[in-house]
Amino acid sequence: MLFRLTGGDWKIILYNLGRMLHLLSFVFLLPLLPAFLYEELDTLPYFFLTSGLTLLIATFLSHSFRTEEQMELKHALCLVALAWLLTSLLASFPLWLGKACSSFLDACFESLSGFTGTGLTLAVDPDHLARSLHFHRHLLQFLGDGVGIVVVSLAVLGRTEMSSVLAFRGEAREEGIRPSVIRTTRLIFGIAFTFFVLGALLLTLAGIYEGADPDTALFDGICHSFTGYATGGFSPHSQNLMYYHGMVYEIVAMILAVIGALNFNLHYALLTGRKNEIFKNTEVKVFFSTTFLLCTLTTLFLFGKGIYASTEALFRRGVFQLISAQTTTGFYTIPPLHLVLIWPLSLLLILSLSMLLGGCANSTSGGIKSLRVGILLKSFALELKRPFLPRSAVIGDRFHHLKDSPLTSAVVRGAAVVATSYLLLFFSGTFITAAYGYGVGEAMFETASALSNVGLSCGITHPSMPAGLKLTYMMLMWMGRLEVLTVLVLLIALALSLGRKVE
Amino acid sequence: MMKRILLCLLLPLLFLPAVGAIPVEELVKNPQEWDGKSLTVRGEVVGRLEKKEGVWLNLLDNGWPLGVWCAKELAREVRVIGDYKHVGDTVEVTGIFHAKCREHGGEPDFHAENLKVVSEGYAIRRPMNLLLLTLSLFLFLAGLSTALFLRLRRREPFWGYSPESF
Repeated sequence: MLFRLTGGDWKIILYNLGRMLHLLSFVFLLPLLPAFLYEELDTLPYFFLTSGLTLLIATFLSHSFRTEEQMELKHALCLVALAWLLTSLLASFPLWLGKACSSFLDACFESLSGFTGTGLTLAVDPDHLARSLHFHRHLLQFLGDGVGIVVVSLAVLGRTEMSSVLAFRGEAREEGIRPSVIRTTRLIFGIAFTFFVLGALLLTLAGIYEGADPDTALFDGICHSFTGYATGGFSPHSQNLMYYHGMVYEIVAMILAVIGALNFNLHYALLTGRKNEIFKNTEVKVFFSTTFLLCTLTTLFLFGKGIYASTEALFRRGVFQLISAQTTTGFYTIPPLHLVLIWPLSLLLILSLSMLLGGCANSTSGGIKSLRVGILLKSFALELKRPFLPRSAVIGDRFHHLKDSPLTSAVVRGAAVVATSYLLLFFSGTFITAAYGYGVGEAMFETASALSNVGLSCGITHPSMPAGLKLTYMMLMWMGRLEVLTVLVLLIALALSLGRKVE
Repeated sequence: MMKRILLCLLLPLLFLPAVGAIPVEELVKNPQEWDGKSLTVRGEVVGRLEKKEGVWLNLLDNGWPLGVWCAKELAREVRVIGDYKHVGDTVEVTGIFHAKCREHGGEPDFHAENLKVVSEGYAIRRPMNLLLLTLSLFLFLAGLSTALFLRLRRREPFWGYSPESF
């Protein structure tokens, strides 16, 4: 029996949405700090207006739909899916008012791309954009993808721990929740903030080393640390990381992205002294082995085709792009168009594959995730073994992810459902993009980038691209960030509720 | 009078691309065609990175960026770097374009041999929109006071503070 959302259910969802927006209204004031610091006082109204509007909506929702009822899983899934949309919509106001984007749709695209940690950009002239607006764009990635602001706000403002537990599941971060969710949330925030501070410090030093003036190096360091750890990929410059023309800066950014792509629980295990976990964890093994394999393939192709001859070029262009794709970061060190013009199609497909595979579960990265890939590979190997064993033989396998777990059919089914839905969306997105007249290889690349929240582009994502394609990619980014099922639950619940009204 | 007429006739020329200057867009879209060729590019300086052996100037030409590698003496002419508050110096650079520069880790770049500032950068005035500021402050204060009023009326804690705490 399928559930239908009643008026009472919507009350619970909208009430909690209101509470969440209360916290966000204050978060939207944070860019005031760089606005004052860099004397960009003309940008102040954008943030006051956004914050005020958010506060009014939050107050309206939490006052009008006030309820004492507790959240259930269905409410949490719908809440998370709605929260992502509404937050992106509200966050687009400063970008629109500040003329960072040429239309309101572009501003919505930009903020959704930021909040989902994608990094595909429609910003018109990033080099002449106010620093406060850059701070807003980069902070969105850190909050949306780096710390999961929806969970944080529910943990801070929610009345019960259960609401946060359920929101964790909606945000596709259900694993490894510790007995106290508030503690876990603090832990996630603490880890993210520590890596952010370390990253900002190292990137600032790297920026100064590469020859930037300390002021620019510090601001860029903060921005790139927000987006590097969040595997987001936004940059304050139209050249992205190519602005720095230096390997040291690229290496620091790459390390930060790899850290962001690893499981929060792994960070916790390492911080609490369980160093063996990194060698035993199935997910880590799959992540590093697929990265190594695809890096080798990329390097061989680039070298074999004579595209880059030196080791430095192969590393800074080939390996960097591949790691940026696999961690779903989206920083780039070659102009997007050169992926199509200089690199062969086979490499575009390898990059698309690495984007689809993605980083680790419960991390800031997107994609199908290494844990699911590992589970599916193990299950595939088992099925291959089966015909060669006696019929009476009972075969099974285990995988290690924080603890040893049996490879049950439920686990395999769960991984297969998510992987299949990703692939279905990938093919649909590719078909739609190709229908707009782009090549199939380019369409696959751009779709994989939007769906896995990567942000690399081969030139399709541009303010001049058709509005239909912008909406398609927005849908893909939203569904990709919430691992498809959360959004499907909301859409099905909406359809069933509407169906009942029609009856 | 003659001088004024001449000035009026010559002024529009400043806004035309320099004769022989190749748009950066063309270099990015057809890198192999221009690889290793000596040519002239023109653009606004939006970034400057001082390295030991030279200087990187990041140029922006009609939204298309390009890294220009030049000697320190050449880069000295550049005074204003473009950002939110400034339009950077517009320079015309003659040199060699590399689609995949061997010297700089395979990066597409431009090695300058000659650099000329064709138009000096300047500060941009960004006046405050007072109407928007008033409206935004009004909206913010309205939101804040409504939220506080409703919470206090219900005697709900707000960020951990209840009416009893005061």
